[in-house]
Amino acid sequence: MMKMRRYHPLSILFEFAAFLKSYAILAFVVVVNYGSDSWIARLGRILLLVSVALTIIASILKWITRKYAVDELAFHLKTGIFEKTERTVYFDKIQNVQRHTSFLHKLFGMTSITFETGTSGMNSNVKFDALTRLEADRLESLVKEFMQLGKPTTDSETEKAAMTSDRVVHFTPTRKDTIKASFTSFSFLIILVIGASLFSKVAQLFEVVDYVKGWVASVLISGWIIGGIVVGLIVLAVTIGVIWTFVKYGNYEIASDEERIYISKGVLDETAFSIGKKRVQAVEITQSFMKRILGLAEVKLISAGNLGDDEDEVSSLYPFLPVKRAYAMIAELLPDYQVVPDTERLPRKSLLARLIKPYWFWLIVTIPLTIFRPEVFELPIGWAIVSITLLVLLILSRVLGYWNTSYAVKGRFIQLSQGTFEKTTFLTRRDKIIEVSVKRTKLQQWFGVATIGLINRAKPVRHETLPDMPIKEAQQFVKWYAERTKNVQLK
Amino acid sequence: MEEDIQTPTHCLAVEAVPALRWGSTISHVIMLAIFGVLYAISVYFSWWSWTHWIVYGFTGLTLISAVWSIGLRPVYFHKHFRYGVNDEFLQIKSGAFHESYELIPMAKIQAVSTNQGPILRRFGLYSLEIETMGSSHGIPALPKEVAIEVRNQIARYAKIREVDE
Repeated sequence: MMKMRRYHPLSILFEFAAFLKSYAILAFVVVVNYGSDSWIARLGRILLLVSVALTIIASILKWITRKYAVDELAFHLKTGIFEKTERTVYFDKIQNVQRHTSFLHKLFGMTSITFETGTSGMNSNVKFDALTRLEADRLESLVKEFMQLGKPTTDSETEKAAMTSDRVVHFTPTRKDTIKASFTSFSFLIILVIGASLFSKVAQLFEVVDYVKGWVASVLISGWIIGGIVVGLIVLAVTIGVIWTFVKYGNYEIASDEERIYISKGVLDETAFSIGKKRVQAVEITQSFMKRILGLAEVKLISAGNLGDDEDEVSSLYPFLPVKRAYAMIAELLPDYQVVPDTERLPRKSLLARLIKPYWFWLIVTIPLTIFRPEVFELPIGWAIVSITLLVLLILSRVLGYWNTSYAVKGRFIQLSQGTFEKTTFLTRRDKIIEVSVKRTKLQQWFGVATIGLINRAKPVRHETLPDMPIKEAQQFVKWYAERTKNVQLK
Repeated sequence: MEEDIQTPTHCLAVEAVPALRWGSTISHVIMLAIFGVLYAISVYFSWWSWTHWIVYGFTGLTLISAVWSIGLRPVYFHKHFRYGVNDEFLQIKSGAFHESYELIPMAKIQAVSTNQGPILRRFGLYSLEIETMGSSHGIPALPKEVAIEVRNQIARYAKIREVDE
């Protein structure tokens, strides 16, 4: 039996910090009402004290009982205060590695690291909330070594030397990139949101509203002041937006070596993500409407393991890449993947099939409209205008959807582009697809088109469909998939 | 549907039709019973009249659905359902109005199981459930020997493991 070791003692502190974060509101309320004698205030104080005490005790107990060990094959974890659990997680199940260094971590020279596996359920990852950078590096390199060696039993010196291959940095954003990014992401609007939510919160505590009402009224008298305030607010918002974007995406770096891709970002809160190139299940290129106008795109790597919360999600290559650069980057990072520039459009009959499809949403809206005939915009036929406008919009969105749809099935790759305003391109390899389907409604049968579907490993499982592909092409697609065994190595 | 890949040819058991009929008959009777009880309650406590109308409406819908799923659907379902198993793929084809064809590599199958509820037991049938990493598929009614054979066949083929999954 190998020697198990405890987690870093500071993990107690970090656990406590996490607790404080989630109880911040209660703590704030308790502190504000410290002088109050009402029973609610008293109850709040008692509750807070009890939970602080319990958390401290629990985190200390947890620290005493939790142990881990690592060998060249797997993580061995022991947990449980009363009920003891032992878990072994083999390195070959690990899909990606995420490192998050919050401001607090930085103060203590610590970091946190998460190894994600592709399994479902509660225990899908191995997480260390607080550990020294040195230890994190050690763990990560153990996993990396395992991946590179392929067969874990051979450990000769030569192979270890070959392993330290050079890391190439592919991209770091320039200042121009950051400024461009802050405009596309509309992040300067965030000040309005924060302002509004802060105001509503403050207003609840103190009765500001009445006070402000009088103030606003006096301000409204002068147009100059309003103009000045508006300009000031916009300048402030833009500045904050740029700063915010810089803090979030400032230190972006995309790098890779032979085997893995490394993405890191953040100035105050650092996150780093690394994934084995072979573990990339698919690539997704997203362009929001704004980004399409500016010719930017976001490239995301799809992994079978969890990718973190939306906010901390780091699987994305820099979200504001110029389209050409994005495509080039995919080629650089993943030589196994190819973006096909000349994709095929759907034929005219697909558009017809899409336009003729029943407009259920419109029907559901229109039926009550025709029954009740409400006046809209003080017009007696307002209801009809609403109904017609809706229908026109729906038809337009279908035309747009058709316009943006294209596909390519070439070599080992399939590439599907879809979307109305936002355009998403999904690119995957034949051997990464876990199953395919071809579906046809009666209407599609008449038009000679079909909906193809493919499923990829991801979290949650990724279902991609492309409606109204000509039936010949759909059959070709199935045949293409059936030949997957050519690319698949068997164990 | 495909020329090069063999289109699945195996049918469900003939008893699938009565089995499906019984299944949907029972569920529809339960539905009707619930609406009956609701109606009785609403009459007894003299609820608003619109509650009656809702019950009528739902009863009507249930009756229409009964005609479809007891009378017609089992026949169509049996007529159009096909499955096929070979050493590389499992294929399932079903439906006429919503035609669906699925191609699942054996190596991606995680689990297969045979199940038998009370209705299937009465007809000596088994249903087969096949789970992959991404979804699950069913073959609803097969004779016992066939079901077990297909299950074992899939289990044997699915043992193949691909590198890097």
